Amino acid sequence: MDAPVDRIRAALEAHGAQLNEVKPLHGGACQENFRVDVTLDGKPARLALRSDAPTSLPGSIRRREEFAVIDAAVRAGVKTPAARWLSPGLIREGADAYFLDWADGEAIGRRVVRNPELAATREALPAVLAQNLARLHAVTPAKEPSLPLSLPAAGPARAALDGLRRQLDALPGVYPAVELALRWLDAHAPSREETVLVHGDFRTGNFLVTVEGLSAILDWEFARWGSPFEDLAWISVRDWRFGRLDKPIGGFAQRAPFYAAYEAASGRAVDLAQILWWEICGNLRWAVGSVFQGERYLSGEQRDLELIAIARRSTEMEFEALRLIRQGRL
Amino acid sequence: MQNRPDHPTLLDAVATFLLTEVSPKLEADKALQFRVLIAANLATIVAGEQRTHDARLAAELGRLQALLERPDARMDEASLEALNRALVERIRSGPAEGDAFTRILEHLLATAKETLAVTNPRFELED
Repeated sequence: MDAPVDRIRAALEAHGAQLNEVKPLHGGACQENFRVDVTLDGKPARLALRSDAPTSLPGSIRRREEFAVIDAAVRAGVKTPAARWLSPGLIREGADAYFLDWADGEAIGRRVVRNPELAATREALPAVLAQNLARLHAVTPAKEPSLPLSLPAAGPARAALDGLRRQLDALPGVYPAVELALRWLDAHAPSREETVLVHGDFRTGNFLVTVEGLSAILDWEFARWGSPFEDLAWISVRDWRFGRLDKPIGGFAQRAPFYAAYEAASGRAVDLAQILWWEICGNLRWAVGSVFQGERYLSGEQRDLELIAIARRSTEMEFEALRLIRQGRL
Repeated sequence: MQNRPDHPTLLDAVATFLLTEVSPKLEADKALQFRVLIAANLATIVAGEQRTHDARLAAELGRLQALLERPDARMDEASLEALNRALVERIRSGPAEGDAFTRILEHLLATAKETLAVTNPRFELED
């Protein structure tokens, strides 16, 4: 087999683009990402390349499904770079990859919530994020029946609980705090739910911003048919506030203006009881997810220091889930 | 068996070396520098966990003995795991609110706080 760079060059040429440079990008704990500089229609252009990684987190979709999700999101008017070409076996045999348009900006969470030059961006962000989320949540299984995502038969909340239970049962350790939070979630699960296309990892760190404002919403690997409230709540999960606990929306805003903007853009009433349920569920999901990051290291398939370090942080998310249960409100 | 300097002291020395001697040399490679900080932080966490291990074990086990009415349970790691498995069984078949639920919740919050005070001293524990 050729070297990856030769396969990348050949794949680009099949679409009329000449490869100038390819450079691996850091920061993808889950995927393998590259920056790709090309010449397209006689002009220099920059693309990103995302490939399936050797191991992934439970609940994540493969690049082939992600490609279809991005296409649907772009058609719905969501600000995300268009996915251009799907190419199987580009980086590794059996691993799908695709090229997408490049977007500039800052995604590193602690800079997004703190950098002084981004103050105006942070002020504008709740409204523009709410509008984008409303557009995404207008995508339903009825409107996009061919999207390659499975429907949660018993509803999004039950699907989330079943997924957590399965993951927990696959782990060798005992996690009483996770068990107690699951017990509470199980007894208090919402019964009347809508099912829409959700981003699944809608949080600071996955938004690219500049001094001009929102540049792009990234990282669709956890997209699924779910409840609109899971995206609305995930952005407030403690770890995604990057130390700014006083700013419950992503470490940069208060809840009320974000929810109001979402209600105005979507025509959907924000149910705070369901947000609380999904925020507890979100913290728990990240508690279990971080333990799984460590399992990926322990499996020997991905010897990455960040993965094993994240595993030891799961107590932080457990604490937050239990704290919210005791508090009983947002 | 040699035990001086002890493990926490060795790990703190590794962390200090990474932070004061290695990290400053890596300004040109921020991604590598970030990973060196993660490595130093892990060494610090393990040092702290070792220093506080016995006290944390006693606190968690003491509460579990009371909660599960097992005052005779031994004070060691194996006993801790056995009691936590018993606690999980009780949680799964127990109520999702009320006094019994709240007692378990308070125990688990206390355990989490004891862990976090060591693993992440900057973590805000107010609730």
